[in-house]
Amino acid sequence: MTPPVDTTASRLDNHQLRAIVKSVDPAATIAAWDASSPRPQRLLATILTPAPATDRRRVRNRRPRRSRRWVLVGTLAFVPLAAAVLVPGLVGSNPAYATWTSVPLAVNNLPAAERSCRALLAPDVAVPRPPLANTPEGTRWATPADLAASTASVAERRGTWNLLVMTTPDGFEGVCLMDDAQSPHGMGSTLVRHVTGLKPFQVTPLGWIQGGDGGYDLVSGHAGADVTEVWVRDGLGLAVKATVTNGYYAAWWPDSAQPLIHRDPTLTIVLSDGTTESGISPRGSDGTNRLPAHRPSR
Amino acid sequence: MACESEPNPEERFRGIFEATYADLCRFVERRVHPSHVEDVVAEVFLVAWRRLDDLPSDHGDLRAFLFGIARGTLMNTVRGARRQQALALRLAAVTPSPVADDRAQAVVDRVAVAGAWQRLTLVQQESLALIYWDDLTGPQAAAVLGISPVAFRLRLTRARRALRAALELPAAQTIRPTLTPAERSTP
Repeated sequence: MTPPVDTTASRLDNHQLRAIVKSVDPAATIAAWDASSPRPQRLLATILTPAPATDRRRVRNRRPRRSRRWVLVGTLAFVPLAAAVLVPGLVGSNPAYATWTSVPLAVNNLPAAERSCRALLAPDVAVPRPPLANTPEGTRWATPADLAASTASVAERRGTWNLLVMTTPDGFEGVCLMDDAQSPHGMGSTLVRHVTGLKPFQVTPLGWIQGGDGGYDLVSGHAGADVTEVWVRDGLGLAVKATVTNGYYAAWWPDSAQPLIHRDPTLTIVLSDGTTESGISPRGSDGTNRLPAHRPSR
Repeated sequence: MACESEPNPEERFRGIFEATYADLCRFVERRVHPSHVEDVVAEVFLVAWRRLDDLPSDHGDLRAFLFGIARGTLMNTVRGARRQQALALRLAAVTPSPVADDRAQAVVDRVAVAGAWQRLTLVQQESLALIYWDDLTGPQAAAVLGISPVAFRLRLTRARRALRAALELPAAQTIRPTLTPAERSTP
């Protein structure tokens, strides 16, 4: 039986009140956080990793992108352009920017988000398209059957917006960025491709989508089994922690820069043994579509 | 003659990181599930790095500044679900054991404290937590909340009064507020 509270509580002074409140402090009984331990030091190193200076030079030389146009680069130098569905409402000034966080959180209602994503992508896979040419073997347009069989390999929330990467074992990849209320605002893209020979320490380069003016950037790709974290740094230094789950990584961030410009992002990957590789170019320094080429050393 | 040079930005940030990391983790840990602590802390330090020139030099004010960023980050994550003016706080897992403090004449059971705590509003809980858990001064706590020191002092006074009143209640009323008719009739 719980003993009764002493009835002199009303006469407790502030020091006594402090002791009482501290007795239920949830942080008092847990092991101390140590800034010198490996994980915080990796975080510190990631934050302090400078953005490549070449990015800023490249920015000035790029042609401004057109308003409300999708641009896909990076991995897509090796695979065909994905079809893109853009629903007006995500571009221009919108509340996504007010709530966006550079570190992702869990989606509130994953089954509902998956249903919304499939609905968003359905018109895209229903459109007949000419066969793909000059693409790696096995790459093709997605079909309604691919979409119906897909589940979320990546599901993350930043503020009021959910990002889902829907996949199947057959190589389907569908990407949705939509608001948390499952409203029809959002975008999606679909593709079927096969990534083979990915080593545990590698990621595929960026599949990079830039939204229209006042829009956003979105990256996604495959992550090897030893890749535990992926950080993306845009060309102006913004660092974004990607979600890495089920062999994929993905992230997005607001991009309302004026004038509208291309800004190549770079990756930092963290492996399960604590090694990191920073400043990975989206196009691959060795001309391959596996990054990095060699296992990073400590 | 050249003046003594200040540390470069990276050195300064490294010092800030190492001086505040543990406190910031505990601040966040009191407010979210432990599995989210490191993610939120990472977010805060990313913001701090981008706003390095705005960071206070005084350690206490710096803690308050970072806590304010953390609170804003956490508030953003809950706004999509429900509007609220204060962050919910977690409680230590409570077991019936006395509060160890000789100055407290009364032995207040931690379970009863937890019950009393849950009778407070979120605003009252947050005010007390900033002072007693996070070890901030009144003006620093006010800065975290984005209100004036005077307004915070008023909140804190009301929160202390509310906690004392809640502690006066019998434990059964605070911990088991909804009893079945059979339970109510039990002597």
